[in-house]
Amino acid sequence: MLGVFCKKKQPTYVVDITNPTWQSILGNYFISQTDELTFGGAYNAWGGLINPTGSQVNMFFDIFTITNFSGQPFTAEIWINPFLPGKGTISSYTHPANLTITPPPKPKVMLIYDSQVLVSPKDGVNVFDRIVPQNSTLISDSSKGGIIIPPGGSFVIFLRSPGPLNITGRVVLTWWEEKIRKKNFLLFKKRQLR
Amino acid sequence: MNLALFEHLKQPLEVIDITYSVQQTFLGNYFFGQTDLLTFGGGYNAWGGLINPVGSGVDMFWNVYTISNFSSRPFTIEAWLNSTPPGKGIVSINVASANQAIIPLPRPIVELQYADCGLQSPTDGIYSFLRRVEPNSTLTRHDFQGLIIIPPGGSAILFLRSPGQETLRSRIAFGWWEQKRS
Repeated sequence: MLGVFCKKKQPTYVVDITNPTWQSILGNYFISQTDELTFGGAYNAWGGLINPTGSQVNMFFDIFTITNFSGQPFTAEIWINPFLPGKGTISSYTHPANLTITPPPKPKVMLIYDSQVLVSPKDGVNVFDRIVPQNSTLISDSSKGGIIIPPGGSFVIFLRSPGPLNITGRVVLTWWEEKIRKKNFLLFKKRQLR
Repeated sequence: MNLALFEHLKQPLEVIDITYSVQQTFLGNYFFGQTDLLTFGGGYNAWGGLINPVGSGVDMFWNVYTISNFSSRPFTIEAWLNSTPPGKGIVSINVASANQAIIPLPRPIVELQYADCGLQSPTDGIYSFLRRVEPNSTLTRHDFQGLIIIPPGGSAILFLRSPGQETLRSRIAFGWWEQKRS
């Protein structure tokens, strides 16, 4: 009798829709890129996603790609919450990955970039670096939502001048946004005030 | 105490985990195909893309693409969404259903089109992302899988801009699935 009960049941098939795909179906997923970034010599460049204070959304960072148009490799530094003096330009390339929704969803998070600047990141954390080989596009793995940036935070790719040669690059970033539930949001604000 | 029930609870639940794209293959909604050999350079551009016809009644989920570079120089490919194809395209016949077990074979509604030796470039739509393609290699890294969804009347175009005087050759392949609009 016991044997009958312990006999393996036929497994069920489940369809595994990845969270990024699901977020795209919902219209929460966005893609954006910088303009051409030039750096080298004394000049650096950067491009990053800024979650504005009061946006009331968390940003789930997904993928970055860094294109190197030049014939020499460079190192890209990935920073969380750096302070970068200067204004930067807001990207006009931002769009939802799901283009079937009308009116198109608008992101709260902004992609901001700057080129030919003397500044370096202050504060923040340089969490990891990536070497970008010459004449190629480095594509990160999907973070699958494992990097979460709250309002007031940022995720920045900093391209430090590797030497005297001029380098041209371009950065693409993708993410999705989820509304912060009010209770959590108030908790977060309280923590910020402290 | 029902020992048998207890034993049963201890067994982990077994599930077979199939991806969304594989499910779409099971359903006969998944297609793949490629362009002809595309020649560009010397001021002439080329492109290959997926065109979702007006009134098709399906949304297209753009899943994968590969780009082959048959020359010894790198080039850049630009991905444009919902832009008007730059010049008249040829509809590729090298397209198939990923599920060949269904009779009759499913046929795609979305068209895989391409053209080369063109002088035009995309003027409208969204310049979404780009790839640098290394010489004598095929770029296969699948990054935006199932994220980009194109409505009827829309398009996903990979545009090969002439980089200079030299002549370059490329071939582009796509994988996508189609879902009825709800």
